[in-house]
Amino acid sequence: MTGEGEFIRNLLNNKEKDKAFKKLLDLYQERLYWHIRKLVITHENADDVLQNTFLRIYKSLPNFQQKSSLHTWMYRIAYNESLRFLEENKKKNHLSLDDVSRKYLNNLVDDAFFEGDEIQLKLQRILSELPEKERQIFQMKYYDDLKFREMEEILGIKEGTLKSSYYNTVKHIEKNMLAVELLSNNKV
Amino acid sequence: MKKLNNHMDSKLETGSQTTFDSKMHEMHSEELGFQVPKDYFSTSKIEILEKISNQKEQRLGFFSRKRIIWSVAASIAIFIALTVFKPNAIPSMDKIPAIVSDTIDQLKTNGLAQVEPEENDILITSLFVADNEIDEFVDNYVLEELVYEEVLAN
Repeated sequence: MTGEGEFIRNLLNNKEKDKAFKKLLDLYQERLYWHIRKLVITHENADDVLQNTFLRIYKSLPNFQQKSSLHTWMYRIAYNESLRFLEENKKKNHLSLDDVSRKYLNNLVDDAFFEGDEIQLKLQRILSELPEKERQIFQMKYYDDLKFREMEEILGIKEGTLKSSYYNTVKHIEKNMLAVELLSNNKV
Repeated sequence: MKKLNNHMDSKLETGSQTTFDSKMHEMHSEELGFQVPKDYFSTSKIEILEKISNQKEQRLGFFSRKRIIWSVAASIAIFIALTVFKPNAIPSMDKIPAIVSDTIDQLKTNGLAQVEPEENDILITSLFVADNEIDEFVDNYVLEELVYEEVLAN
C-alpha cells in the first residue's frame, strides 16, 4: 500500500472505491469501535453506532475535502454518531448527557461483554464521575492515542485547554486509583 | 496503566495494523474490562458491507424509477401538446411503436406513471418544440435510453 494520498484518491474513485473501502474497514473498524465503545459503554450500543458510522463515512466520502487527515475525519464522524446516539437516549429517557453515560456505566456489570474485576470497575466509576467533556478528552488521549491537534479538530476545543484538562484528569485518576489500591491492600 | 504510544496517522501497513489493534484490544480488556463477542469484527465487517450494498441497490432503484416517471411524464406532455396545437402532426395510436405504448401501459398499471404534468408547462414547452425534435426525443430518448436500459437492467 502506498501513502494516504493515493489511498484517498482510490476512495474517491468510483472504480476503486469499494475495494478501498474494504481496506478502510480493515484499518479503522477496531479502533473506531473502541473509541465508540468508551462513549456509549455497552457492546450492543457500540455495534449499532459503529455500523451507522461506517454507513455515514461511505455516504460522505464524496464530500471529504481533505482539510483534515482521513484519520481525524473518521474519528469526528464516529464521535458525532456516538453523541447522536446518546442524545436520542437522553430525549427518550429525559436525562442529561452526563446522566445517560452514567446510566450505562451503572448497568455495566449486567453487560454480557463486560468482565471487569474490582479495580476495573472502580476505574470505570472514577471515569463516570468525571464531567462528560473531561472524560472524553482523557479517553481520546489516553486510550485512542490521538494527538492534541487532532482532538482540537474533533472536539472544537483549543489545544491548551485540552492539555490542561488531560493532565488534571490524569492526576485525579491516579490519586483515586492509588486510594483504591491502598484500600484493597488493607483488605488483604 | 499502559500506553499504546503508537500513532497511526498515516500507517497503512497491515502488519503494524494488526499489532496496534491487538494492543488496543488488550488495553481495553485489561484496564476497562470491555469484551467483544468471538469473531465480532469479521462478522461486523460483513454486515457493514451488506448494508452498504443494499443501500446502493435501493438508490439505483429509486433513480431508475424517478427517471421513468419523468420520462413518461415528458412523453405524455409532448403528446398532449401536439394533440392541442398540431393535431395533424401526431401519429395515430396504432403507429406509435408497440414497445413505447406497452411500456407506458405497464407503468400505468404498476402505478408508476402518476406524475401529472402542469398544464401551463406543457403549453409553454410545446411552443418551443419543433416536430423533428419531438420525433428525435421519442426515438432516441424513450426508446434507446429508457426502454433499453430497463430491459438490460432486468
